[in-house]
Amino acid sequence: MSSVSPSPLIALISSECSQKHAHNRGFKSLSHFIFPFTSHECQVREPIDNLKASQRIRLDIRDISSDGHLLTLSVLPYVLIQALKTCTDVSQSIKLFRDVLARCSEPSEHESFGHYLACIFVVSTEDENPLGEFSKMIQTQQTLYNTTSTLMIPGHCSTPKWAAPHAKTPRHYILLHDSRSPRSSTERRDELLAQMCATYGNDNCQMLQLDSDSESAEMKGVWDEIDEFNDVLEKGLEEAHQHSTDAIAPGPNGASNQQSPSSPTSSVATISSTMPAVGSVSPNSHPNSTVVWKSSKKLASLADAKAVQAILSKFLDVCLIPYVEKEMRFLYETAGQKKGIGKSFTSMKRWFGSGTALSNMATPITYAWDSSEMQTRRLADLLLMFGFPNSAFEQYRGLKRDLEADKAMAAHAVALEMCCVALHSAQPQLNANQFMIKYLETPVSLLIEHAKFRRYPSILRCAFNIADIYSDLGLHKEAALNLAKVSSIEGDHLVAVAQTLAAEQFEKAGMGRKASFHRVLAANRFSNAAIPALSFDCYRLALPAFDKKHWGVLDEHLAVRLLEEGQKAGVMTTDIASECIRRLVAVCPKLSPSLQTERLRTIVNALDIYFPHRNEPVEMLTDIPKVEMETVKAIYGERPLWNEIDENEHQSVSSDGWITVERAAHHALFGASAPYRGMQLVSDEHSDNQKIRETPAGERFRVMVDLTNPLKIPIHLQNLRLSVSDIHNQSGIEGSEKSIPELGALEHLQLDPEETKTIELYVFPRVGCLKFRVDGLLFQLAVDQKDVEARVPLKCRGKRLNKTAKQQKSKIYTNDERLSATVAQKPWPLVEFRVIKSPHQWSYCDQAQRYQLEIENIGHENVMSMCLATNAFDRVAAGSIDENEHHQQFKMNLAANNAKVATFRFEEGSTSSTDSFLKIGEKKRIFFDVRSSDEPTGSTVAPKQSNTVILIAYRSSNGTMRQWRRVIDGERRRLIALTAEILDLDTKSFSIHLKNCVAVSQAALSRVEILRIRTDRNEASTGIKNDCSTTVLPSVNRRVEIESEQTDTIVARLVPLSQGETIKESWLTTTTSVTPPKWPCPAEIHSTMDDEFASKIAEKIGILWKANIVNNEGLVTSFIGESFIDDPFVKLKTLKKDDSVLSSLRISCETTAKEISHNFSASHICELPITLLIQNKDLQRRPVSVSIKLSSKVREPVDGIHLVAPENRHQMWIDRPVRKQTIGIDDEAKLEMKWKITHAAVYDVGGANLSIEAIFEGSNDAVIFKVPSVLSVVKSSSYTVV
Amino acid sequence: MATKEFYFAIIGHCDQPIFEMDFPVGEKKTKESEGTRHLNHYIGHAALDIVDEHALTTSQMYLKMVDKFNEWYVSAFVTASRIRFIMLHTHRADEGIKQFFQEMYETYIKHAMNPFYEIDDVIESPAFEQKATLYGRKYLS
Repeated sequence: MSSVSPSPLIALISSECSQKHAHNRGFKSLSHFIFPFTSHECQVREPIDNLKASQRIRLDIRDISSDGHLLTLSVLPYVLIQALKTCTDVSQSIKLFRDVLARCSEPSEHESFGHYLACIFVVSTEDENPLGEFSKMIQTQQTLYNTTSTLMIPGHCSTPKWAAPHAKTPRHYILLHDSRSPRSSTERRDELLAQMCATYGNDNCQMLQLDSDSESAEMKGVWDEIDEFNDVLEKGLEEAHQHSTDAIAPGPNGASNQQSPSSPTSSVATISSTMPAVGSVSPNSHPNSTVVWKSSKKLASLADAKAVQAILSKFLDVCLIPYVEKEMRFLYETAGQKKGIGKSFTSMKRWFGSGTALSNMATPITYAWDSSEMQTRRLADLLLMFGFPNSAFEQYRGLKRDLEADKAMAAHAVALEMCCVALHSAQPQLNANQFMIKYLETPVSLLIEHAKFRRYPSILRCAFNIADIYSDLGLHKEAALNLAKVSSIEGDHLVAVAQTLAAEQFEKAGMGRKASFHRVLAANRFSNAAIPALSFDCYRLALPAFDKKHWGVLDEHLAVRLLEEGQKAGVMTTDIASECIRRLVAVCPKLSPSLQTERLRTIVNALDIYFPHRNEPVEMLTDIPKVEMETVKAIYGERPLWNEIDENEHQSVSSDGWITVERAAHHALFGASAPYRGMQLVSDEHSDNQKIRETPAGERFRVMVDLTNPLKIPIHLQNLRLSVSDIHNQSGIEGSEKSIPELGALEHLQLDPEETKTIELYVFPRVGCLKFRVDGLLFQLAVDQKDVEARVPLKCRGKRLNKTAKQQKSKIYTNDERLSATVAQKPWPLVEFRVIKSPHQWSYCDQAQRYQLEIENIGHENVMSMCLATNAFDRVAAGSIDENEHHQQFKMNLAANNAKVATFRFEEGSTSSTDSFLKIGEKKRIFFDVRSSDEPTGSTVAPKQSNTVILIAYRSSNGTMRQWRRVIDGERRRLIALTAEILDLDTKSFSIHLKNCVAVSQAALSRVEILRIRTDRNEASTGIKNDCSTTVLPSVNRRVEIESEQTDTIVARLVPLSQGETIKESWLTTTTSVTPPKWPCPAEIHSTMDDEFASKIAEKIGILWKANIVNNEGLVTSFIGESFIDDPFVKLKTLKKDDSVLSSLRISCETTAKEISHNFSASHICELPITLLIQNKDLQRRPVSVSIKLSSKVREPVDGIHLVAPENRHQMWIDRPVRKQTIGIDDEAKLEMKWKITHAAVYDVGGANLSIEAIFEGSNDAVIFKVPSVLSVVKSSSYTVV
Repeated sequence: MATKEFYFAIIGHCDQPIFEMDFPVGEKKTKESEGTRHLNHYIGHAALDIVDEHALTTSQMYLKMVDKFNEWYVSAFVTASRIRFIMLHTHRADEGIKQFFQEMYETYIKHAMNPFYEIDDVIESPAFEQKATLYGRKYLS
């Protein structure tokens, strides 16, 4: 319906019978009936060139009495809003809106569009006196020239305007003959037509005959466009009526109900800017006609349509076109030729606006109808309406200049608008460079400035026309900016439409982000205008522009608005709802607590409304609560319990270390040839999870996981359980209840703000179930008595691969099968291990850490055998304890797979291999003793020793097994220091120097008593073997006790054992009741990695001691231990054999502290004092001259720091680079030096940084000695510790 | 609007905000501004179209004022690596904003040189925030 060029407006006045014919045929009015047939080709003479041109003209015929004229400004908004409410698609709605605006809005006072050019009178052959009706209608038309007349005009319509005075307005007379009418006859028809022709002239009279009496298939859909318009109009009017009655109704005493409900239009006041209020009711209005035309069939045939077309064609040819040609000629001659020169100042009248709201607004200027400006305007409008845009453009161009000169800015803006429209219609081929862009820039702004409170239809029409031209020229951004100017006018629905169109233009300009913003603005305006469907649609269209951009606030705003508007309009889809919920869930943790409460409620409500009958729980609550996937632990079977699992196990022992010990235990239980298949009871992120592990049937498969509440408010979860899939069953029990694993549920869980809790849930597979997989966590999130079922997928990711180039460049992870399990059909043995006695977490070096366990068979299988495997093969003893507290030691065996792993079989002494070690329900007690390492924690002298692993494995008669394991790791301190010195080689006398290393300040009492001395040699040692066995005898049998910082010396001698003698130990006390552990002495195993100068002595002298410590808090502890030193005679022999001088100097390096804190911002240089002790123990007893030199790691100049290995980049220097000293035989030199460093790091203060050059007396060759490495950690801190 | 208000954002390559700050820092938001707090985010996001358009036509990093919506002006700065700094402001303060952008650019470069920081990651460094606060106080008051 809408077009850039307005259509000529024709009035239609009909008799009552004529209207009845239209109603009977299913139409609202006659104009409704003839609407589709109003376009016609005709020849029009152009007034300037005086040439005829063929034009296609569409007439806009309005039935004044029925449809009425253009709508008043008070009613128009309701109809426009109704147009927007018609459908939920914003583009469709806006198209209809523009149609309604173009068809219903009043014209501006500065133009002649919307003025009736001619009048058609219609009477029916049914009328009693058709010619009399004509007379009445002519009189009625005449009264309509009076602006105060309210005759015939529906109350919601403005008074019609006429292009010419009554006498000059062309009239046309039509006799309607409906052959369906019972009273119609052809004779009367012809007679009446003849009378009409005689009265009004042959050319001015026509007869329209309608013959059809049924609905025609050919005419289907012809009236759809006008039907839709009429529908919108009626609904809008109804709403306007409703609104006006609502406004009146709340009167205090009911006095307002004076209006009759049967006259709905009467209460709609006309508030027109130019027209006075019209309060009358149309006498011809048909309140019930709406029902008729909407529901009834349209009885019209193709022949009828052709008849109408013929009538209108003749009307155009003989009536309208000649009149228009004449009028255009007249106007051109009087006004058009002057081109602004002869502008009549006398005819110009100015009316100053009396009711302007703003005092600074430009005073509007209007022109009289017969002024030269209006004559030019009328000419231009006629030229445009009748297909001469080029000529119209010339007229508009001249006119707009004159108007601008007159400062009639509103009139100028309207003329400028039509100037652009005419130019664009005349020359659509012009591009952006050729078009007069400057014409497009100002009209909208001028109209907004000068006419905004009065004429929003003009502003909107202007903005739409200008934007269309911009768009056709490819200037979409300018089109959008032009439309965006409209946002300053009042009326949310109007601004919303303009913003939506602006968004479309931005979209076409490739500015998606601007487009989305304007869509949001439009949506907000639609929401304010109570059009939620379009608001929802605009928000929906804006949504993708913010996808995955993490604009949290915007995501939240969009999601909330969409949910609100969607609910109001009832147009929400599940896809959009789930997207909104997803975004809200993602953004929720970033909000304030009060907003979080609100949003959580919104989320739960939305889930409840839009996903009420879901079969599957929703997977949108991915982060509320957050499942910490890296904490997922799967426990296969009933043991270990959750509190028995060592979280830091992976830090103490590598997975290979565990496998070595497990394999040793496996071979000990099943024999060396039995294939090892692995035995994993707990899978976590540090274990090997690529294989699917076994879990026993009839026992729980437990999953532990941490849940974190990311919100600042507490959340309540109910009925937490695991989701299980991929269940495989044995054939035969498929689908039965037995095949479905039972699930353990947690009834209620409250997570406080930002709290993390570990939960344990389980699956209980029964016999018959072969395989299953846990794939999710199910729970109900409860908010305000409302809860929603939700599901969080549990999918663990394996370790990242980084071996190949492809793996290094991209992120590839291994499969993680920790949540899948195959179900072992045979039962596993189950033993409960209760630790009865265990030592402290920290210990002294060489201390005996004694464990006692009670074991009980709590399963349904007899335990056939049990073994203990450990990697501390030279430091562990194990055995059982009987009822009489008698300790029975088990024999240690080195494992078949690894010589550094020891195993102990527990069932030693059993008579038969079929005897059970532990029957069902039976209890036993076992023990194991572990000797602490001989080096304190943090020592850098000894190579790093792996932690002690104790693994107890047991098996049932059917070959299934299970394990219990523990890592023994703790801090160690030195208690005593031992050195041996040879006194006499012949008698093999030697002394053992003992020193209690516990400082007086560290303990109230620290007494160490020496209990026993023995010689020993570990079978596993690969060092130099001593062929003859010896025993040690102290020279004096006395009680040896040393307290804090005290020293003592035991003199003893080694005595060879006589034939058959096996006792290799000597007790220094007879009163002790201590049972010494039967562990082996430390084994010395050579490897290629060992220091080439270090000598390994397999023969050891063991000193068993007992310590009583009372610490400063008064806590008394008593324990035993055994320290070992090398056999000094064997050592001497080895050194001689080596024939080396490298053992001549004993060098040690000490630092004050392992960890130093230094404030580098206060002082750039940190000083690190060290003490170097060099003892001359030359076998040839020569004095030695030593020089200690700083040997820089980087000795040559380098081009860049990147060429230096990272460990050599530390800057450190010493106070004196070279120190020299002469040391006599058995003397010790103590050299104190200071390292200076500039950065916090880990430094080796000895090692390769220092070298000792020694020249022994009588020799000219310098021998280089190494300084042992001592690591010192320097930390940057705000304070300095000296 | 009596008080000067500024909203600064660093925008990553996928139009995602990697750092945001309102000036003056720590000023309590009124109820009204809480209700419309999303508006400056929308304006900032929409202005990126104009910023990108300007960035293609000029070799300057500082693009001056590129957009306006109601009382909010939008100034922009585009780094060599096409990270965009935008500033929404209610009052004209071109020189101060230019200085602020320059300082923040240097701070951003230093932050980006951290080997643990990946381009386009959200900046959560308190030191960076402190610097932004400091320069905001210095140039935007």
